[in-house]
Amino acid sequence: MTMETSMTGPAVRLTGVQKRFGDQAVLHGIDLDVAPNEFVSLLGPSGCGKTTLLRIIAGFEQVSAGRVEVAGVDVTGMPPHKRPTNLVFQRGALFPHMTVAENIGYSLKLRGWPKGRIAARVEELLALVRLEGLGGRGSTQLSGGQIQRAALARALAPQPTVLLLDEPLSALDLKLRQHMQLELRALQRQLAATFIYVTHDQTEALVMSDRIAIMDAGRLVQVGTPREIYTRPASVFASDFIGETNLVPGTVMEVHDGLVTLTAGRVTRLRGRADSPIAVGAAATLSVRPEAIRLTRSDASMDTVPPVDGCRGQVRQVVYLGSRVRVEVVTEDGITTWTDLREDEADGLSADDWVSLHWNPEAASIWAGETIRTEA
Amino acid sequence: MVGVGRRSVGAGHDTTRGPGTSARSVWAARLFIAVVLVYLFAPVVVTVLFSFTTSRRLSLPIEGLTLDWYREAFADPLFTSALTNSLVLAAVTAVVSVVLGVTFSFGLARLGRRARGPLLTASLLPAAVPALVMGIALAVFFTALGRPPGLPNAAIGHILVALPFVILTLNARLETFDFSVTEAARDLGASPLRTFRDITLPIIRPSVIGAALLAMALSIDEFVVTWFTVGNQQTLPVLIWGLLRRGIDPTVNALATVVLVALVCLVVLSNLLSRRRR
Repeated sequence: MTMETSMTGPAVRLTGVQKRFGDQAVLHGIDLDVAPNEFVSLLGPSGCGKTTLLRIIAGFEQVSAGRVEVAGVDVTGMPPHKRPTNLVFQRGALFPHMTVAENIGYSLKLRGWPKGRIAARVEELLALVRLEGLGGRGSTQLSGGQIQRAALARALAPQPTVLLLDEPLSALDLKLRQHMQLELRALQRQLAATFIYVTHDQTEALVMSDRIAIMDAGRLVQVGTPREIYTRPASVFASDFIGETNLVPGTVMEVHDGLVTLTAGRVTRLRGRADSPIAVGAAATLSVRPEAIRLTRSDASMDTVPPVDGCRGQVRQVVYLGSRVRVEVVTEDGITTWTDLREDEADGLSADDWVSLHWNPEAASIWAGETIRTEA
Repeated sequence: MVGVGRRSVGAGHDTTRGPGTSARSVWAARLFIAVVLVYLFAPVVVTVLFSFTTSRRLSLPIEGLTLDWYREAFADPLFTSALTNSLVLAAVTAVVSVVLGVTFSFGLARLGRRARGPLLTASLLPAAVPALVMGIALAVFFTALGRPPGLPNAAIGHILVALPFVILTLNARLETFDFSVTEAARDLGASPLRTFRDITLPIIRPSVIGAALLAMALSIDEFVVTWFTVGNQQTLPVLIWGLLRRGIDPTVNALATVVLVALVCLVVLSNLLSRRRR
């Protein structure tokens, strides 16, 4: 049942992949290696080119320039039916005139397997995706979750070198989606298969992936483990797209060993780490996660010296989120920030209270430039 | 706004009496509908009725019932050749117009929305050309090409008449066709041809058969274009027209009834198949 991957090179290698539709460039030179048995998510907002990239790997779109290799074989000009990849479509795309079992067995029938062997393999796959006993159902008699399970089984049937998944869970409701995410991840580990998963849902990418490739406007913005991407986002876009963050524009005042001090407004001094070189006096943006900020009450009035790391401000509102409490603080310089606290930490905190905000500079990232992209 | 206004008027004072509020207007409406339906069907019913009467004169009351006119009509060697020609034309029209229609509609479906609309309209336009004009145009066209009139010319004319309706039927089906299933088949290892055979055709088959039956119905019924193109050959409508020139004869009624039954069956079946969705 496991997919034997004895190859040593990458399962998929994209080299300088470009795609244009007419005069519109959709992909600007993508380089990406996906290792065997790896679960890689292509994550980005709609229109960033992630689905086009997946369809290029599947063979439904041709590259304008560049090369696609699967298991060391150049498949760039190969039609989809000859590629060792299989795709799970967004809405399943089950054949409406076939039963679930016929859907799953279709690729094996094409390969000329005898009937008995197909039936056995179909049973095995039905059990794998937990659709036992539903093989005889028509594909229109399935629920949304069952459709995607059947589509998954159908795509896995011919044991593809790489399984491609195009937002297969996006049509499901939240509860089922969360459940299926964990199930997909477990399945991928069990089969030791290579998965490339397209999604616009950052939580989904964080939960399932070994590595996430963030895409924006036809470019790879950052490729890394979920942890790397969350804690050390490579750009303002990445930090804003993955998780929630506070973005503060400012001017670089001091750089010391990668630790940058930023001035923002009249009195605010903020510190964080810059992974790329940055010049004193340049415009920069700091990103700090709401949960990385510590909050202390300060009874001091305006005339005392502001804190060195972080800033001081007044609580505007306290929002109860169940597992935690989110506090909106407006600093002395009028910067709006959000801080996440445990419920007991926020005990007694109310609007108009004076507080100080601190964080470990290592937990904040700084990049040159002040453009802040906000995603709707 | 409009809805609210209407409702308040209706609730306040009963000045606007909707249809069906008084017994007299109900009966008037029913009578009117009955008259229109009688008008629509009376000639057909009379024709069918007189094809079974014993009297050679078309007059009421009916003296007795018989199948003699059918026997007489079927015994006529002209009838046999006309029927054969009509069936051959219908079959050729159905096959050719469906093959052309399917390929054309798939081509249309692959185009962008902006190009599809005008091209679809253009392909349906010939259906709006009067049959007389089409007949004359084809006659002139074939003469210019130096083709003698005959069944092949009539077949070309019939295909021309049927094709817009075939395209209309298939286009309606393809509007709701999910092309990702054909991609799924390609992805799973099926060649383009295999995908068409295993996936596309079975899914659209009811509409294809429906379109074929419609094309047959249009072909069997076609008179004007046929008359201009077929020369001295016979088809059922051309034969009936020829017989009518000798005066109305009950065998004409019998022939007309045969054509009527065939067409009604074809059109009803065609509608059932085209409307059926998975």
